[in-house]
Amino acid sequence: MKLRPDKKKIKDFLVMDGWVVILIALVSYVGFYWAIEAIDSIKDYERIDYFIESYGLKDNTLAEDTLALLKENGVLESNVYDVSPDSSTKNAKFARFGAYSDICVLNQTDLDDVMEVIGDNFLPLSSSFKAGYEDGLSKNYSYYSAYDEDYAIKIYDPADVSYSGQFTFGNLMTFAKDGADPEAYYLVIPLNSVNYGAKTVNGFAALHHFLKTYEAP
Amino acid sequence: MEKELIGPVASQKLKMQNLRLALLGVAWLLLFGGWVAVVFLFQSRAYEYLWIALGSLVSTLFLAVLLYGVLKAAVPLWAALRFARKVAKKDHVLNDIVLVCLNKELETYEGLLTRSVTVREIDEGTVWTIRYDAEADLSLKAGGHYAVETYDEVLLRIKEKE
Repeated sequence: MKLRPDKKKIKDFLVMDGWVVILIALVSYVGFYWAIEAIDSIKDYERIDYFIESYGLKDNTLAEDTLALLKENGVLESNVYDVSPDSSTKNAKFARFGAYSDICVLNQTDLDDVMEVIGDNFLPLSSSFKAGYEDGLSKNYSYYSAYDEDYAIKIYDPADVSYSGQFTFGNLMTFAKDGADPEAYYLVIPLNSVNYGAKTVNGFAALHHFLKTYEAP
Repeated sequence: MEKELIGPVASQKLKMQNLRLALLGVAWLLLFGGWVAVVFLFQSRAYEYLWIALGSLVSTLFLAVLLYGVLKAAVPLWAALRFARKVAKKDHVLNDIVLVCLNKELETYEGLLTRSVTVREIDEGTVWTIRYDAEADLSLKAGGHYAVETYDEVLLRIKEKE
């Protein structure tokens, strides 16, 4: 039996089964695209994300600065997500972006709402954790504590002007709005972040940089 | 001219062809696996889309050739082997015939691509059609006198008579 390909057999094959070849090409492309995209997509440990609850972010270069600071440490992307305290989609946005961010700013009310399960959502700021970012900071930070652990760094307190005056976070976010009760704001570290020792320690550098940037001169 | 189209010798050749084809198929699959491994080992973020395009293009060629091998070589070969095994267990018919005409149509019979010839039996004058492997290298002439061995009107062996 002649098994060697010849022009006629190849032509017949392409005419009769060309659609299968096209299907193979499509499946092959989709397969490679899906697999290589999955491999090359930016991972949690290559990204520093901020989630900020405020009445509006001001012009800032936070993401660009973070990227410039940590590019050599393997950070490829930085995003800043923001949500208004009175937004109807606040909880959904937090669940989607905030819970997986690396640095998160929430107001007093929201923090009080999750106080009972705070350990299930945020990292405790133990002394060893604080040692990771505190070096070089010059202000006196207060903390939000629960169950004998510090969980959040206070960055704004409307009732304590001298405390808030240590910082310039007002250059980044808007803490108050007409008609809304003034509230304190805190910085928390979501438990899902992998950048505080789980995969990298880039979170500490980003946190230090964030706090240092907004310390008043 | 005497030729065995289907029989012990032809079956042996088919089995050898089948073995070679199987080995070629395995080698081809290994080569394809190697290519996929190369793509995933060397792909990089900087050239991500180039590797996706190259990977899918070369893989399509690998798989298209494999498909061709299965459809155009393996399937007919397996059909021929199956038919040869079946024929080996059956009684064959021997006739002296005169070839009336060569038919142009191709026809698939039990997975085999066949041509056909119209023949007239010398003893009884019966006219009928005999199929034979379309790729068999036979130099048949209309009006020629042949001794044929057939099964189910498929030519197994042919001998040209003086």
